[in-house]
Amino acid sequence: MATATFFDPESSGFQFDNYARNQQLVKQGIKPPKLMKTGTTTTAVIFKGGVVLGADTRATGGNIVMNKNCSKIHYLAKNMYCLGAGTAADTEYTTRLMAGKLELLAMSMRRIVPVKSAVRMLKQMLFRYQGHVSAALIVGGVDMLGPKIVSIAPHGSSDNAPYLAMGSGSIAAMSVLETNFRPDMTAEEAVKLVRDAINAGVTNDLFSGSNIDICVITIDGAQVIRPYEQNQPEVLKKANNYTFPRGTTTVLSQGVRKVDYHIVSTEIRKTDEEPMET
Amino acid sequence: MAHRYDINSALLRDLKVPLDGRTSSSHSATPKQHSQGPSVSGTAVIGVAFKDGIVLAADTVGSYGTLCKIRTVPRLLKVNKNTVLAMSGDYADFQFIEQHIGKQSIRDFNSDDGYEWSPKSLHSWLTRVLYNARSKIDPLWNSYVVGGYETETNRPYLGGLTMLGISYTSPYVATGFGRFIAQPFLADQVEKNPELDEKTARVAAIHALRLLYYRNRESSNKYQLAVVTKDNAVVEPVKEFETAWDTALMIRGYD
Amino acid sequence: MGDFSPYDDNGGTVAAIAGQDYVLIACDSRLSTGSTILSRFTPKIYPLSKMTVFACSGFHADVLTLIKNLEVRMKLFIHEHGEEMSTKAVMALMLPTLYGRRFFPFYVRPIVAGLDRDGKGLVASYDPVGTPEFFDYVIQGSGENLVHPFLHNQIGAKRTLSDVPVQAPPGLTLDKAVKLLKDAFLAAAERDVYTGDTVTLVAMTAKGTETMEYQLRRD
Repeated sequence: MATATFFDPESSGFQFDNYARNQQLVKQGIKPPKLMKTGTTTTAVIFKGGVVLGADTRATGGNIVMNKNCSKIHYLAKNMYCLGAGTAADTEYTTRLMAGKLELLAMSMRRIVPVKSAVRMLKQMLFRYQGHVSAALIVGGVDMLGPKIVSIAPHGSSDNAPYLAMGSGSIAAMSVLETNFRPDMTAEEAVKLVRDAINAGVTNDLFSGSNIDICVITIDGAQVIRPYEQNQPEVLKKANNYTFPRGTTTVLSQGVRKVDYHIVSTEIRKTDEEPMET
Repeated sequence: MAHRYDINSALLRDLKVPLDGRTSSSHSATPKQHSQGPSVSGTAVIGVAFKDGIVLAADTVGSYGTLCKIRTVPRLLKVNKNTVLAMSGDYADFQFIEQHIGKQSIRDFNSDDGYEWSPKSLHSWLTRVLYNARSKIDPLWNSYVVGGYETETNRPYLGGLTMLGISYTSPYVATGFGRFIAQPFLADQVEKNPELDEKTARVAAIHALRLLYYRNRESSNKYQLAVVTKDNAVVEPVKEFETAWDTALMIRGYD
Repeated sequence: MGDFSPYDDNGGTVAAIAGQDYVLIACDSRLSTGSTILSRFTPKIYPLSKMTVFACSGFHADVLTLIKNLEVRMKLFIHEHGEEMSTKAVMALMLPTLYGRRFFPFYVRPIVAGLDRDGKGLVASYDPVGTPEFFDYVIQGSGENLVHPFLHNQIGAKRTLSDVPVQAPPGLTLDKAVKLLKDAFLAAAERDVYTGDTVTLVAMTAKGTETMEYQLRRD
């Protein structure tokens, strides 16, 4: 095969061209860059007639909070959303890829894609990468078979249960779920339960925090509530004002310079041609 | 796993060991190995403070790796009428500590000067013992919860201690896996109701053990409670709590 | 198993500002290990004498041991000399205490803060093996990297090349310093996962000691 270029339309999937080089660099003591992790609490429960999904919004890199309001509820299809924990890029990319595939599948099948199809596709993809794609997912949705939630671990194993939790705060969330879950709850009860479960992760797990996002899916459609609850008490307001007066920064030198540029004009015209038949 | 115990060389070595000593300074052809992990061990213990006392709780399993080796083993030690100790981790190391506490209690009794262990003094002493062991890179593989009633301040006392010698106090404490699943529940109970009464605290403690039983393979539903109030400390007999597994019936298949 | 480590990191942030007639020490009260909280009620400030306090983050077992060592030394000093150790003497004592464990260090980030005999604020910070540093304002612990630039900017006035640094003692009143450190801890709790729950501020003047407590983020 020819040398891989930056954009090679022939290849698909991940590129491993620099793998050997990078291993060598690590051996020489060069530290690989730090990835953003969503040390996370995600929770899903089934209620009478639908599912409720919930997630915190903290993303961390080491001990630093890198994003205080990141979204961990990912769109898969109109009737299906996915909660993501793990390496932020992996959850983001995996769910986007799957959203695209599900849309194509829905168009070719001309019907709503069942949740279990999405689960199969996701777990087969994750299994292929043997856990190197670190995405810990919970897929939740409603289809012709009713409400359904399934968790998928990074290595590709799946688990279906009436209530699920994933991420570093999952055990804290599970303490709430095990205490308060009941079958056939109303939507309001389920939302309250998910809120409490996420809140347990937010307060007890250091790598979960900030706001609580919630998504409710029924046969009538999905509703993402973001933020469902904000975690910024009034007592946490700063005592001082830190806006700097104009001129705080010393100007070392000033100058005016002409920048050469070319003007390229573009004209948009309506064509008479008929649109192409598909 | 712990290294293989060589009984012959250990017997020879034991002849030279002082009675209260745990390690030997005798010379041997191979360097002495310290234990690198627990052998028979107990899992999480928990403690909750209520408005005029402390509840400590532990299940009764002695695990050997993933094997449930001993089903009924006491993990709560009544030190005196003010002080109870709850252990998790290596059971042999705990019995070693227990001997020392026993000896000191007898010395305190004999000197008849009115002094005996208080929860705070036991907590402080245990911290030193565990810290010194870790500093010799020969750790005592235990974490503890010390609960009791401090007569000096006339208040309940609840403290936690890890095998490295990190000690702290808090109105709710859990060790090991309990930090992940029991502590969030207990924290919620205490924050909702800072003036817990004994009954609520007992129910909370038992439910914390139930959560552990659901999600921790080392736990069981046989448990013991200890309640310390101003007048007395009671370590109750072994009981079993109720569990519910009906949601398991809702699960079909894996996807 | 087989990889026992005698160390842990229990996180937390401590800071201090030395003024002309005061010293202000601050800490958070979160004690954590790994991803979990051990206690939300463990402030990292320890009074040593009427004139001196000690504040320390790092490995809590080492912190407790260090405190015990210092307390013993200070008690012996009283018995020997009939008076409490001065703040400067405590600061001098830190180096041999920490360096004595040069090859099995206390994994700690200490600050010694107090008043000298004239009531002037003194602050010193140390690395784990005892190197002392004397500045008007210091910060140690898990939020150090976040808060240090803030204090440099606000107290040290290190904003531009031409600015003359405002020295902390004359420019900064106790009242302003309290607000500044409170805000510094609010900011640290926003972005450092190991800092939170409550901030405790201890203000020492010749008149006495005042302790203030404020809520921080709990997530």
